Amino acid sequence: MPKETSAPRKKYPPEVSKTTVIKGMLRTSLLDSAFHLLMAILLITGLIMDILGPWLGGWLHWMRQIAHGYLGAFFVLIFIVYLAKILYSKKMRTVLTATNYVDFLFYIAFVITGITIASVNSPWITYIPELAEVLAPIASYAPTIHITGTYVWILFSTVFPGGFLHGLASAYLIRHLKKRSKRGIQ
Amino acid sequence: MEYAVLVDPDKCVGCRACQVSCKRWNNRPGEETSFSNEWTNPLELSFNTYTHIQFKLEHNEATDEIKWRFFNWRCMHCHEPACAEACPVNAITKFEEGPVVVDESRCIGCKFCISACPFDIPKFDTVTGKVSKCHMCYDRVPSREPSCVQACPTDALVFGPKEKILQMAKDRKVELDGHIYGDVDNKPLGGTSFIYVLDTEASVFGLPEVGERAPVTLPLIRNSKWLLIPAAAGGLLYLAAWRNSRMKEKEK
Repeated sequence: MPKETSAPRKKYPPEVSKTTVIKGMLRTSLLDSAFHLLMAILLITGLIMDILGPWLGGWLHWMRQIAHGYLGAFFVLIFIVYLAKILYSKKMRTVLTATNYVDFLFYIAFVITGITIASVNSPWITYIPELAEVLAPIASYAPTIHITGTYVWILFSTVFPGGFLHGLASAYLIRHLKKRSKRGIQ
Repeated sequence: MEYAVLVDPDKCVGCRACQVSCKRWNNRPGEETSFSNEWTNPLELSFNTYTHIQFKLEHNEATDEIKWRFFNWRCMHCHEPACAEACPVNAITKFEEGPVVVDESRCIGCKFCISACPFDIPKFDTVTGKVSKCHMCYDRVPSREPSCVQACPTDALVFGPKEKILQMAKDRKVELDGHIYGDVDNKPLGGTSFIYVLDTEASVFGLPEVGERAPVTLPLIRNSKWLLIPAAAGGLLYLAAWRNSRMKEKEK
Protein backbone atom coordinates (compact mmCIF):
# COMPACT_ATOMS: atom_id res chain seq x y z
CA MET A 1 0.00 0.00 0.00
CA PRO A 2 1.44 3.33 -1.01
CA LYS A 3 1.81 5.68 1.85
CA GLU A 4 -0.66 8.54 1.82
CA THR A 5 1.01 11.91 1.52
CA SER A 6 -0.74 15.09 2.36
CA ALA A 7 0.32 18.39 0.78
CA PRO A 8 1.01 21.08 3.37
CA ARG A 9 -2.03 23.22 3.82
CA LYS A 10 -1.64 26.78 2.67
CA LYS A 11 -2.91 29.42 4.98
CA TYR A 12 -5.39 31.92 3.65
CA PRO A 13 -4.87 34.84 3.81
CA PRO A 14 -1.12 34.21 3.69
CA GLU A 15 0.99 35.66 6.45
CA VAL A 16 2.68 38.78 5.16
CA SER A 17 5.43 40.67 6.91
CA LYS A 18 7.78 43.44 5.81
CA THR A 19 10.51 40.87 5.21
CA THR A 20 8.35 38.69 2.97
CA VAL A 21 7.30 41.73 0.97
CA ILE A 22 10.91 42.84 0.48
CA LYS A 23 12.00 39.29 -0.40
CA GLY A 24 9.12 39.01 -2.83
CA MET A 25 9.98 42.32 -4.45
CA LEU A 26 13.61 41.35 -4.88
CA ARG A 27 12.62 37.96 -6.31
CA THR A 28 10.11 39.46 -8.71
CA SER A 29 12.20 42.30 -10.12
CA LEU A 30 15.53 43.75 -9.11
CA LEU A 31 14.90 46.75 -11.36
CA ASP A 32 11.58 47.43 -9.67
CA SER A 33 13.17 47.16 -6.23
CA ALA A 34 16.07 49.43 -7.16
CA PHE A 35 13.69 51.98 -8.63
CA HIS A 36 11.52 52.16 -5.51
CA LEU A 37 14.43 52.08 -3.09
CA LEU A 38 16.17 54.96 -4.87
CA MET A 39 12.91 56.90 -5.12
CA ALA A 40 12.43 56.53 -1.36
CA ILE A 41 16.01 57.64 -0.62
CA LEU A 42 15.68 60.68 -2.89
CA LEU A 43 12.35 61.68 -1.38
CA ILE A 44 13.52 61.33 2.22
CA THR A 45 16.85 63.11 1.69
CA GLY A 46 15.13 65.86 -0.29
CA LEU A 47 12.61 66.42 2.50
CA ILE A 48 15.32 66.43 5.16
CA MET A 49 17.32 69.04 3.24
CA ASP A 50 14.33 71.24 2.56
CA ILE A 51 12.77 71.08 6.01
CA LEU A 52 15.85 70.88 8.24
CA GLY A 53 18.18 72.83 5.93
CA PRO A 54 17.83 76.20 7.69
CA TRP A 55 18.98 74.56 10.95
CA LEU A 56 21.47 71.94 9.82
CA GLY A 57 23.04 73.92 6.95
CA GLY A 58 26.47 72.59 5.97
CA TRP A 59 25.94 69.31 7.86
CA LEU A 60 23.70 68.26 4.99
CA HIS A 61 26.39 68.79 2.37
CA TRP A 62 27.31 65.09 2.08
CA MET A 63 23.64 64.19 1.87
CA ARG A 64 23.08 66.59 -1.01
CA GLN A 65 26.22 65.45 -2.77
CA ILE A 66 26.04 61.69 -2.33
CA ALA A 67 22.56 60.56 -1.31
CA HIS A 68 20.68 63.12 -3.43
CA GLY A 69 23.30 63.94 -6.08
CA TYR A 70 25.13 60.82 -7.16
CA LEU A 71 22.25 58.49 -6.27
CA GLY A 72 19.95 60.92 -8.09
CA ALA A 73 22.10 60.56 -11.19
CA PHE A 74 21.97 56.77 -10.81
CA PHE A 75 18.20 56.98 -10.37
CA VAL A 76 17.88 58.77 -13.71
CA LEU A 77 19.61 55.84 -15.43
CA ILE A 78 17.43 53.30 -13.60
CA PHE A 79 14.34 55.36 -14.41
CA ILE A 80 15.11 55.36 -18.12
CA VAL A 81 15.56 51.57 -18.14
CA TYR A 82 12.43 51.11 -16.03
CA LEU A 83 10.37 53.33 -18.30
CA ALA A 84 11.70 51.61 -21.40
CA LYS A 85 10.86 48.21 -19.91
CA ILE A 86 7.29 49.29 -19.18
CA LEU A 87 6.74 50.95 -22.54
CA TYR A 88 8.14 48.07 -24.59
CA SER A 89 6.64 45.25 -22.56
CA LYS A 90 3.35 43.75 -23.73
CA LYS A 91 2.61 42.06 -20.45
CA MET A 92 -0.69 43.04 -18.85
CA ARG A 93 0.94 43.48 -15.48
CA THR A 94 3.31 46.10 -16.73
CA VAL A 95 0.56 47.83 -18.68
CA LEU A 96 -1.38 47.99 -15.46
CA THR A 97 1.64 49.31 -13.65
CA ALA A 98 2.23 52.01 -16.22
CA THR A 99 -1.32 53.22 -16.31
CA ASN A 100 -1.96 52.93 -12.60
CA TYR A 101 1.02 54.99 -11.75
CA VAL A 102 0.11 58.39 -13.11
CA ASP A 103 2.75 59.32 -10.54
CA PHE A 104 5.13 58.75 -13.43
CA LEU A 105 4.22 62.19 -14.72
CA PHE A 106 5.53 63.59 -11.46
CA TYR A 107 8.66 61.43 -11.68
CA ILE A 108 9.36 62.70 -15.18
CA ALA A 109 9.01 66.30 -13.97
CA PHE A 110 11.37 65.58 -11.06
CA VAL A 111 13.93 63.94 -13.32
CA ILE A 112 13.90 66.76 -15.89
CA THR A 113 14.10 69.53 -13.29
CA GLY A 114 16.70 67.57 -11.30
CA ILE A 115 18.91 67.28 -14.36
CA THR A 116 18.33 70.97 -15.12
CA ILE A 117 19.45 72.01 -11.64
CA ALA A 118 22.44 69.67 -11.74
CA SER A 119 23.40 70.53 -15.30
CA VAL A 120 24.93 73.86 -14.38
CA ASN A 121 27.95 71.71 -13.69
CA SER A 122 29.17 68.11 -13.74
CA PRO A 123 28.30 65.40 -14.49
CA TRP A 124 25.63 66.13 -17.10
CA ILE A 125 27.09 69.25 -18.66
CA THR A 126 30.53 67.70 -18.96
CA TYR A 127 29.35 64.65 -20.83
CA ILE A 128 26.44 66.19 -22.75
CA PRO A 129 27.24 69.92 -23.32
CA GLU A 130 24.14 70.34 -25.53
CA LEU A 131 22.00 69.89 -22.41
CA ALA A 132 22.79 73.43 -21.25
CA GLU A 133 21.04 74.99 -24.26
CA VAL A 134 18.14 72.56 -24.25
CA LEU A 135 17.37 73.09 -20.58
CA ALA A 136 18.10 76.84 -20.48
CA PRO A 137 14.43 77.95 -20.87
CA ILE A 138 13.38 76.19 -17.64
CA ALA A 139 16.62 76.77 -15.72
CA SER A 140 15.27 79.56 -13.50
CA TYR A 141 12.02 77.69 -12.75
CA ALA A 142 13.54 74.25 -12.21
CA PRO A 143 14.10 74.52 -8.41
CA THR A 144 10.54 75.79 -7.89
CA ILE A 145 9.02 73.00 -10.00
CA HIS A 146 11.24 70.38 -8.33
CA ILE A 147 10.36 71.37 -4.76
CA THR A 148 6.75 72.46 -5.17
CA GLY A 149 6.07 69.40 -7.35
CA THR A 150 7.34 67.13 -4.59
CA TYR A 151 4.96 68.59 -2.01
CA VAL A 152 2.02 68.52 -4.43
CA TRP A 153 2.84 64.88 -5.16
CA ILE A 154 2.98 64.07 -1.43
CA LEU A 155 -0.33 65.85 -0.89
CA PHE A 156 -2.06 63.91 -3.66
CA SER A 157 -0.52 60.64 -2.58
CA THR A 158 -1.68 60.98 1.03
CA VAL A 159 -5.00 62.76 0.62
CA PHE A 160 -6.07 60.72 -2.39
CA PRO A 161 -4.14 57.46 -2.11
CA GLY A 162 -5.40 55.10 -4.74
CA GLY A 163 -8.18 57.54 -5.33
CA PHE A 164 -7.37 60.52 -7.45
CA LEU A 165 -4.35 59.40 -9.45
CA HIS A 166 -5.14 55.73 -9.59
CA GLY A 167 -8.80 56.51 -10.29
CA LEU A 168 -7.78 58.50 -13.34
CA ALA A 169 -5.52 55.70 -14.46
CA SER A 170 -8.18 53.03 -13.95
CA ALA A 171 -10.73 55.08 -15.91
CA TYR A 172 -8.23 55.37 -18.74
CA LEU A 173 -7.43 51.65 -18.62
CA ILE A 174 -11.09 50.58 -18.63
CA ARG A 175 -11.82 52.85 -21.59
CA HIS A 176 -8.80 51.50 -23.40
CA LEU A 177 -9.80 47.86 -22.76
CA LYS A 178 -13.39 48.53 -23.85
CA LYS A 179 -12.13 49.97 -27.12
CA ARG A 180 -9.93 46.95 -27.65
CA SER A 181 -12.71 44.46 -26.91
CA LYS A 182 -15.10 46.29 -29.30
CA ARG A 183 -12.49 46.10 -32.03
CA GLY A 184 -12.15 42.39 -31.28
CA ILE A 185 -15.91 41.80 -31.60
CA GLN A 186 -16.11 43.58 -34.96
CA MET B 1 24.18 102.60 6.39
CA GLU B 2 24.18 101.13 2.88
CA TYR B 3 27.29 101.43 0.73
CA ALA B 4 27.77 101.06 -3.00
CA VAL B 5 30.37 100.98 -5.75
CA LEU B 6 30.16 103.13 -8.85
CA VAL B 7 31.45 101.36 -11.96
CA ASP B 8 32.42 103.68 -14.79
CA PRO B 9 33.53 101.60 -17.81
CA ASP B 10 34.42 104.80 -19.67
CA LYS B 11 37.30 105.34 -17.23
CA CYS B 12 38.50 101.73 -17.25
CA VAL B 13 41.77 101.06 -19.08
CA GLY B 14 41.60 97.25 -18.82
CA CYS B 15 44.71 96.89 -16.65
CA ARG B 16 43.12 93.99 -14.72
CA ALA B 17 44.49 95.29 -11.41
CA CYS B 18 41.05 94.58 -9.88
CA GLN B 19 41.27 90.92 -10.96
CA VAL B 20 44.71 90.46 -9.42
CA SER B 21 43.88 92.34 -6.26
CA CYS B 22 40.71 90.29 -5.74
CA LYS B 23 42.66 87.03 -6.06
CA ARG B 24 45.27 88.21 -3.58
CA TRP B 25 42.89 89.53 -0.94
CA ASN B 26 40.73 86.42 -1.06
CA ASN B 27 43.72 84.08 -1.36
CA ARG B 28 42.21 82.30 -4.35
CA PRO B 29 44.45 80.14 -6.56
CA GLY B 30 45.22 80.99 -10.16
CA GLU B 31 43.60 78.93 -12.89
CA GLU B 32 44.59 77.88 -16.35
CA THR B 33 42.89 80.41 -18.59
CA SER B 34 42.77 81.53 -22.20
CA PHE B 35 42.02 84.70 -24.16
CA SER B 36 38.82 85.39 -26.04
CA ASN B 37 39.04 86.87 -29.54
CA GLU B 38 38.72 90.27 -27.86
CA TRP B 39 41.36 89.48 -25.22
CA THR B 40 39.11 88.92 -22.25
CA ASN B 41 41.00 86.72 -19.78
CA PRO B 42 39.78 84.75 -17.90
CA LEU B 43 36.81 84.13 -20.17
CA GLU B 44 34.30 83.93 -17.35
CA LEU B 45 33.91 83.99 -13.58
CA SER B 46 34.57 80.81 -11.65
CA PHE B 47 34.61 79.43 -8.12
CA ASN B 48 38.07 80.98 -7.66
CA THR B 49 37.61 84.06 -9.84
CA TYR B 50 35.19 86.55 -8.36
CA THR B 51 35.76 89.38 -10.83
CA HIS B 52 37.15 89.95 -14.29
CA ILE B 53 37.35 92.58 -17.00
CA GLN B 54 35.43 91.97 -20.18
CA PHE B 55 37.06 93.42 -23.29
CA LYS B 56 34.88 94.52 -26.17
CA LEU B 57 36.09 95.89 -29.48
CA GLU B 58 33.68 98.17 -31.33
CA HIS B 59 34.03 99.19 -34.93
CA ASN B 60 32.26 102.32 -36.12
CA GLU B 61 31.58 101.67 -39.77
CA ALA B 62 30.66 105.28 -40.51
CA THR B 63 33.97 106.72 -39.29
CA ASP B 64 35.99 103.49 -39.61
CA GLU B 65 37.19 104.01 -36.05
CA ILE B 66 37.61 101.33 -33.46
CA LYS B 67 36.94 101.69 -29.76
CA TRP B 68 37.86 99.45 -26.88
CA ARG B 69 35.39 98.99 -24.08
CA PHE B 70 36.60 97.55 -20.78
CA PHE B 71 34.00 96.39 -18.35
CA ASN B 72 34.41 95.16 -14.77
CA TRP B 73 32.05 92.26 -14.04
CA ARG B 74 31.13 90.42 -10.84
CA CYS B 75 28.19 90.03 -8.45
CA MET B 76 25.79 93.00 -8.50
CA HIS B 77 24.87 92.63 -4.79
CA CYS B 78 21.13 93.12 -5.32
CA HIS B 79 18.93 94.74 -2.69
CA GLU B 80 16.54 91.75 -2.83
CA PRO B 81 18.86 88.96 -3.97
CA ALA B 82 17.12 86.11 -5.78
CA CYS B 83 19.99 83.78 -4.81
CA ALA B 84 19.32 84.32 -1.09
CA GLU B 85 15.60 83.79 -1.62
CA ALA B 86 16.24 80.48 -3.37
CA CYS B 87 18.80 79.12 -0.87
CA PRO B 88 17.17 76.33 1.21
CA VAL B 89 19.82 76.44 3.96
CA ASN B 90 20.08 80.22 4.51
CA ALA B 91 23.71 80.18 3.38
CA ILE B 92 23.37 83.53 1.56
CA THR B 93 22.97 86.74 3.55
CA LYS B 94 22.31 90.29 2.45
CA PHE B 95 24.14 92.63 4.83
CA GLU B 96 22.69 96.06 5.54
CA GLU B 97 25.96 97.62 4.36
CA GLY B 98 25.27 96.14 0.91
CA PRO B 99 27.27 92.91 0.43
CA VAL B 100 25.51 89.66 -0.45
CA VAL B 101 27.68 86.92 1.04
CA VAL B 102 27.75 83.14 0.59
CA ASP B 103 28.69 81.29 3.78
CA GLU B 104 30.59 78.37 2.24
CA SER B 105 30.47 76.37 5.48
CA ARG B 106 26.65 76.35 5.28
CA CYS B 107 26.43 75.80 1.52
CA ILE B 108 25.25 72.32 0.48
CA GLY B 109 25.91 72.87 -3.24
CA CYS B 110 22.28 72.50 -4.34
CA LYS B 111 22.85 75.13 -7.07
CA PHE B 112 19.43 76.73 -6.56
CA CYS B 113 21.15 80.11 -6.29
CA ILE B 114 22.78 79.58 -9.70
CA SER B 115 19.39 78.89 -11.26
CA ALA B 116 17.82 81.89 -9.53
CA CYS B 117 20.47 84.52 -10.29
CA PRO B 118 19.53 86.50 -13.42
CA PHE B 119 23.15 87.65 -13.80
CA ASP B 120 24.58 84.09 -13.78
CA ILE B 121 27.03 84.96 -11.00
CA PRO B 122 27.31 82.16 -8.38
CA LYS B 123 29.74 79.46 -9.51
CA PHE B 124 29.84 75.83 -8.41
CA ASP B 125 33.05 73.93 -7.74
CA THR B 126 33.05 70.19 -8.45
CA VAL B 127 35.96 69.57 -6.07
CA THR B 128 34.50 71.19 -2.95
CA GLY B 129 30.86 70.80 -4.02
CA LYS B 130 30.17 74.37 -2.92
CA VAL B 131 29.23 77.69 -4.49
CA SER B 132 31.10 80.97 -4.27
CA LYS B 133 30.99 84.50 -5.65
CA CYS B 134 32.18 88.06 -4.99
CA HIS B 135 31.33 89.13 -1.45
CA MET B 136 32.10 92.85 -1.89
CA CYS B 137 34.94 92.40 0.61
CA TYR B 138 32.47 92.35 3.51
CA ASP B 139 35.48 91.70 5.76
CA ARG B 140 36.82 95.17 4.82
CA VAL B 141 33.66 97.20 4.28
CA PRO B 142 32.91 99.88 5.39
CA SER B 143 36.14 100.84 7.17
CA ARG B 144 38.14 100.02 4.04
CA GLU B 145 37.01 99.98 0.43
CA PRO B 146 36.75 96.65 -1.42
CA SER B 147 40.04 95.28 -2.69
CA CYS B 148 39.19 95.81 -6.39
CA VAL B 149 38.26 99.45 -5.76
CA GLN B 150 41.49 100.07 -3.89
CA ALA B 151 43.53 98.62 -6.77
CA CYS B 152 41.82 100.60 -9.54
CA PRO B 153 44.29 103.25 -10.78
CA THR B 154 41.80 105.30 -12.83
CA ASP B 155 38.84 105.56 -10.43
CA ALA B 156 36.72 103.44 -12.73
CA LEU B 157 35.56 101.89 -9.45
CA VAL B 158 34.56 104.22 -6.59
CA PHE B 159 33.28 103.09 -3.19
CA GLY B 160 31.19 105.13 -0.75
CA PRO B 161 27.85 105.59 0.98
CA LYS B 162 25.07 104.72 -1.45
CA GLU B 163 23.51 108.19 -1.41
CA LYS B 164 26.82 109.75 -2.36
CA ILE B 165 27.47 107.14 -5.06
CA LEU B 166 24.01 107.72 -6.53
CA GLN B 167 24.65 111.45 -6.73
CA MET B 168 28.00 110.79 -8.43
CA ALA B 169 26.25 108.44 -10.88
CA LYS B 170 23.64 111.08 -11.73
CA ASP B 171 26.32 113.74 -12.33
CA ARG B 172 28.37 111.38 -14.47
CA LYS B 173 25.26 110.37 -16.42
CA VAL B 174 24.78 114.00 -17.43
CA GLU B 175 28.45 114.27 -18.42
CA LEU B 176 28.28 111.14 -20.58
CA ASP B 177 24.71 111.68 -21.75
CA GLY B 178 24.26 108.04 -20.82
CA HIS B 179 22.37 105.65 -18.56
CA ILE B 180 22.56 104.35 -15.01
CA TYR B 181 22.22 100.59 -14.61
CA GLY B 182 21.48 99.16 -11.17
CA ASP B 183 19.55 102.08 -9.70
CA VAL B 184 17.72 105.33 -10.63
CA ASP B 185 16.90 104.43 -14.30
CA ASN B 186 16.20 100.77 -13.58
CA LYS B 187 16.35 98.77 -10.36
CA PRO B 188 17.15 95.12 -11.00
CA LEU B 189 15.92 93.11 -8.00
CA GLY B 190 15.22 96.23 -5.95
CA GLY B 191 18.43 98.01 -6.99
CA THR B 192 22.04 96.90 -6.77
CA SER B 193 25.09 97.86 -4.72
CA PHE B 194 27.26 97.95 -7.83
CA ILE B 195 25.95 100.78 -10.00
CA TYR B 196 27.05 101.23 -13.61
CA VAL B 197 27.10 104.52 -15.41
CA LEU B 198 27.21 103.80 -19.13
CA ASP B 199 27.71 105.96 -22.18
CA THR B 200 25.62 103.62 -24.31
CA GLU B 201 22.87 101.04 -24.03
CA ALA B 202 23.26 98.39 -21.29
CA SER B 203 22.76 95.65 -23.89
CA VAL B 204 26.06 96.67 -25.56
CA PHE B 205 27.82 95.47 -22.41
CA GLY B 206 25.70 92.33 -22.25
CA LEU B 207 23.81 93.49 -19.16
CA PRO B 208 20.47 91.66 -18.96
CA GLU B 209 17.06 93.23 -18.53
CA VAL B 210 16.03 92.22 -15.00
CA GLY B 211 12.76 93.03 -13.26
CA GLU B 212 12.53 95.00 -10.03
CA ARG B 213 11.28 91.97 -8.16
CA ALA B 214 12.39 88.36 -8.11
CA PRO B 215 10.11 85.99 -10.11
CA VAL B 216 6.86 85.27 -8.25
CA THR B 217 7.62 81.56 -8.47
CA LEU B 218 10.70 81.93 -6.26
CA PRO B 219 8.94 82.27 -2.85
CA LEU B 220 7.19 78.96 -3.60
CA ILE B 221 10.50 77.19 -2.92
CA ARG B 222 10.27 78.19 0.73
CA ASN B 223 6.51 78.21 1.17
CA SER B 224 5.44 75.02 -0.59
CA LYS B 225 6.46 72.94 2.43
CA TRP B 226 3.23 74.11 4.13
CA LEU B 227 1.45 71.65 1.84
CA LEU B 228 2.75 69.01 4.22
CA ILE B 229 0.14 70.10 6.80
CA PRO B 230 -2.94 69.07 4.78
CA ALA B 231 -0.98 66.01 3.60
CA ALA B 232 -0.27 65.02 7.20
CA ALA B 233 -3.90 65.69 8.17
CA GLY B 234 -5.08 63.48 5.29
CA GLY B 235 -2.64 60.77 6.31
CA LEU B 236 -3.88 60.88 9.91
CA LEU B 237 -7.50 60.63 8.77
CA TYR B 238 -6.67 57.55 6.70
CA LEU B 239 -4.80 56.05 9.64
CA ALA B 240 -7.80 56.63 11.90
CA ALA B 241 -10.19 55.13 9.34
CA TRP B 242 -7.93 52.09 8.84
CA ARG B 243 -7.65 51.55 12.61
CA ASN B 244 -11.40 51.86 12.96
CA SER B 245 -12.10 49.25 10.27
CA ARG B 246 -9.52 46.90 11.79
CA MET B 247 -11.15 47.18 15.21
CA LYS B 248 -14.51 46.33 13.65
CA GLU B 249 -13.00 43.29 11.93
CA LYS B 250 -11.56 42.10 15.22
CA GLU B 251 -14.91 42.52 16.95
CA LYS B 252 -16.53 40.35 14.26
